[in-house]
Amino acid sequence: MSNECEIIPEDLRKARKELATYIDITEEDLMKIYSLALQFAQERRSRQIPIADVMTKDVVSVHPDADVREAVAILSEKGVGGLPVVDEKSEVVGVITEADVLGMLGVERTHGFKDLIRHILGDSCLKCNKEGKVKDFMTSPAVVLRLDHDVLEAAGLLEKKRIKRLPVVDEKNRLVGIITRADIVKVVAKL
Amino acid sequence: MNFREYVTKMKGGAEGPPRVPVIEVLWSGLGALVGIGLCGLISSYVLEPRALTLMIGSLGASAMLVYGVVSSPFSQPRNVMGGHVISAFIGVACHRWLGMDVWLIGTIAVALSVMAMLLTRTVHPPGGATALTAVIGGKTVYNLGFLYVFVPIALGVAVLLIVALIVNNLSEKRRYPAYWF
Repeated sequence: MSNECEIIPEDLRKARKELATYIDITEEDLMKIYSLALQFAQERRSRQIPIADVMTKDVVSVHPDADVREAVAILSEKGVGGLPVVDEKSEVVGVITEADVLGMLGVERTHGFKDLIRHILGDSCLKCNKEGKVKDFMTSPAVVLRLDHDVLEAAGLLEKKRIKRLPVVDEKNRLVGIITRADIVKVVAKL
Repeated sequence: MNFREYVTKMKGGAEGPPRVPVIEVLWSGLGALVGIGLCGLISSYVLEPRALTLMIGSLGASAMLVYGVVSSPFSQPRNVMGGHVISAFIGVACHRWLGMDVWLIGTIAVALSVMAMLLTRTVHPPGGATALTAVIGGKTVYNLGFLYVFVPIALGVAVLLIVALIVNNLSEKRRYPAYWF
């Protein structure tokens, strides 16, 4: 079901002749109905795309007891905005993101742009704390997505929670992948 | 929308519908022949001696739809019966209760029946004629009063629908109705 094979008015004319009965609908209306039906079918198909086909399976994660500087280094090296935090059982216990790292530097989520400027200018309103473990700074519990969810549910959750990535877990809450906004955009572009 | 775009819309441009096969034409003709013929028989031998009739123009228009455009929403029982009965009631009510010139009453009756059919999802174009006939039909129709809703309208429609059920489904390619309500 894709737009690769477009229906043209001639096809509709032939189809109407094939039905061999009088049908009181214009080609224009028929085309509108066809286009809308195709759109609905594409939406339905997008819902049916399993998360497993879209997510990144090779996920870099970090242990909650790891040094927070290790997490910062991974974020920097891999060029990602966040990392799932998983324990010994591979269960997701949290997420550490760029925002958490900023928090580590004293920039709280409630701080605005003016606070950052003041910090850059040397104001001591922000407390800098670069020591500690990942579990001290991570966001917990993490918002996760179950493997049996679909792409539309993933998109809805990302939008609702205003986040950029979701760890994907199996039925035992074990990390199996990660899905980002970019992954969903790629899928929609192919429809 | 500017004036040029407005005028361009009047040009049309789409192709007209294809001609239907001869066998379809024959089935349609047979349906109309039996449907209107039966209305005529009942009218002549049963109703006219009692100062009633089934032969009114709007049933002829319905015959075109019910036997000629079988799969159209306009032709389904809900639309045919609903459209005629609602319009007939509106036509009689307007004639009875609006004290105006006949042309104005007829205009209002048709406009109201158009709106009523759209609101009740019973659009059946001949219903407009049924409403107008109630207003301009002369003494024969006026004397019927609200009986006009039942005879000739509801009874005539019932005859057309029964014949449509029997005749339309004799054709391998036809299926009637698409839905009842």
